[in-house]
Amino acid sequence: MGVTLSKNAQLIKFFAQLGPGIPRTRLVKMAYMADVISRRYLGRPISDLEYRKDKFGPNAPEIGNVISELEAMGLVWTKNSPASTQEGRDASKMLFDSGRRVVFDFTLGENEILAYVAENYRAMELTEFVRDVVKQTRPFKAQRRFHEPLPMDLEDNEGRNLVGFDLEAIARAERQAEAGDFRTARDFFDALRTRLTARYTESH
Amino acid sequence: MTPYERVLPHDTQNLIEEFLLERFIGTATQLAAADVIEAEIERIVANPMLGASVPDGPFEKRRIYRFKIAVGDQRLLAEFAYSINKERAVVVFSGFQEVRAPL
Repeated sequence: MGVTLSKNAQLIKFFAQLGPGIPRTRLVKMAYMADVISRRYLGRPISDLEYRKDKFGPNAPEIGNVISELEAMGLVWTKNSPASTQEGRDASKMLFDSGRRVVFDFTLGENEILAYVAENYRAMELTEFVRDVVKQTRPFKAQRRFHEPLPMDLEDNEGRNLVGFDLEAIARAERQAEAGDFRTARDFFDALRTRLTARYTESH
Repeated sequence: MTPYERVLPHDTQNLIEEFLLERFIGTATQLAAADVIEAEIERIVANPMLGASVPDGPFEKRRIYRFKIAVGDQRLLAEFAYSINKERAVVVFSGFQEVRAPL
């Protein structure tokens, strides 16, 4: 499929693909964590969803529209079913992937973050995820009033400053290594010494 | 001797070389600093747990190792970011930078 989706739609489609059906509450919280972590390490969110404080954690009201857009394109489908899983009442709103492929244009750094969120939070018990992870983030704790926007910029570059390294650059270098664009340390330093010595010899 | 291969991606090679040329004057000093950096790589590979991982994010699976480069009168701090692939017996040094902080 050659359609270019918005980053918001790509984010939802990505989480839908984790399958085998993702409840709405978990979807919103995972999107939120992806944006929080992206702000921490890349200094910007992946999506431009606006998160507001809700009793059950951050909520992004426009996600409903994004899902409708994806549904209309045949990329996802939704199902209302009785609450019967550990997801509790939220299991009544489930999102499923249609299996149709799209082109994602996430950066290497965004990919790393999405992989981290998927790996760590997809299977975490929902109550624990919301209580111990999502509600402990600085924007959620800083906003005292329900239904008001969360001050997401509180997270900007917090991780980047702690780590000191640019995640995009690290991911790029790792990609180079995977692609064979590398030298072993011994080969590199031997060649470097030869170059430095040759430079000295030429100048004298 | 550990079986890990020491992998320096293209960008990391450039970062190390630029650092040596910009921060050290004279071939002997540059060579000495290169020796220190290579020795620190060997130290990491001998014990990949030396670096710290940063929890709760994409650096959880990577490690950052800080070390001192003392050559002549110069005392600088630098860091490697690296990841360990035990299956392939490889340590990939994916980042290198000087740390501008007091020793």
